[in-house]
Amino acid sequence: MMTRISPQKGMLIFGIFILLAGIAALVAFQVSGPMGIEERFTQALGIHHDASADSGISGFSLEGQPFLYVVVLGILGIICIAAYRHFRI
Amino acid sequence: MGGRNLAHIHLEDGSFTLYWVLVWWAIALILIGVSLVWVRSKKKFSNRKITLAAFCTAAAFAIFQVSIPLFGGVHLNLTPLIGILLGPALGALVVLIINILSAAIGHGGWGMIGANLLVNITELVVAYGIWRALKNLFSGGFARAGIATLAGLFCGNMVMIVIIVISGVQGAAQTSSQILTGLTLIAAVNMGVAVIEAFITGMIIVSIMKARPDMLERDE
Repeated sequence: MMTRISPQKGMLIFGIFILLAGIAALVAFQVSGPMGIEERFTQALGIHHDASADSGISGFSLEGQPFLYVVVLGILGIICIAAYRHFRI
Repeated sequence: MGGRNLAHIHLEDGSFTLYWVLVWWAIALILIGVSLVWVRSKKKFSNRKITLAAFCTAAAFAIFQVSIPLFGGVHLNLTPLIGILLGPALGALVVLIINILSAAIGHGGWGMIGANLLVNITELVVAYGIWRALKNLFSGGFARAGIATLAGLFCGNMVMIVIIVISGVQGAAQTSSQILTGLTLIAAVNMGVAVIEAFITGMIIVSIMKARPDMLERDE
């Protein structure tokens, strides 16, 4: 029969996890320095914003194009309505 | 957020090649399809569950957009909470809607939704699994929910790293090992946010257990 862990012991175990995660986060923050999450990604991957804005042949270039956003949203909306009617969700 | 459109995987449309965009979308759609089949296999969903799903969608969508000025600016997810409250199947549908709505207002590229869905579904499935697994082991709800949240977000970060490393990023100037190191640092910083989210999820669960314990009962 499995022994149940008391709330106090549960909190202790949770505290250990919190401590480990907190230390890892602080160390990583110290190593990488203060920056936003977007900058972290661009720095980690070595992406330059100007280069990434030009998405190339096989990439998407929907970024910042409201018309394409509306088109894609419209298509998704139609699919949702069709799925809703077909499957009677 | 700045002027760029970014997603849970904080990369823009065009970061992945079309091939990998389609691969992640396809895998995500398979998981969504499985969720839909499961949802349909249930003869009837209680109104309470549907209302809860709607509430989770609205709350998580809102919290996705709120930047917390910690570690340079981050946002909470609430995906582990969604997993605990709704389970994997309904939770997967909720995160699909959240990601589509987020992309619709420019928080995340359309092409990244597939990859982000895999990250979010991992978070909620792991959190749900741990929450259920600890049911007979932990007598308190706070620590149980907190550990489930930490585990869910940790695994979500791992999936994020795997997806980016496998896909590669167009225009990336780093070597694979440099990318892995950089992403590991991001994941570690994200765990700092996971600590905050673990406390918030724990408090919400404890409040629900006190006020409306029936909300945590599984209607299986």
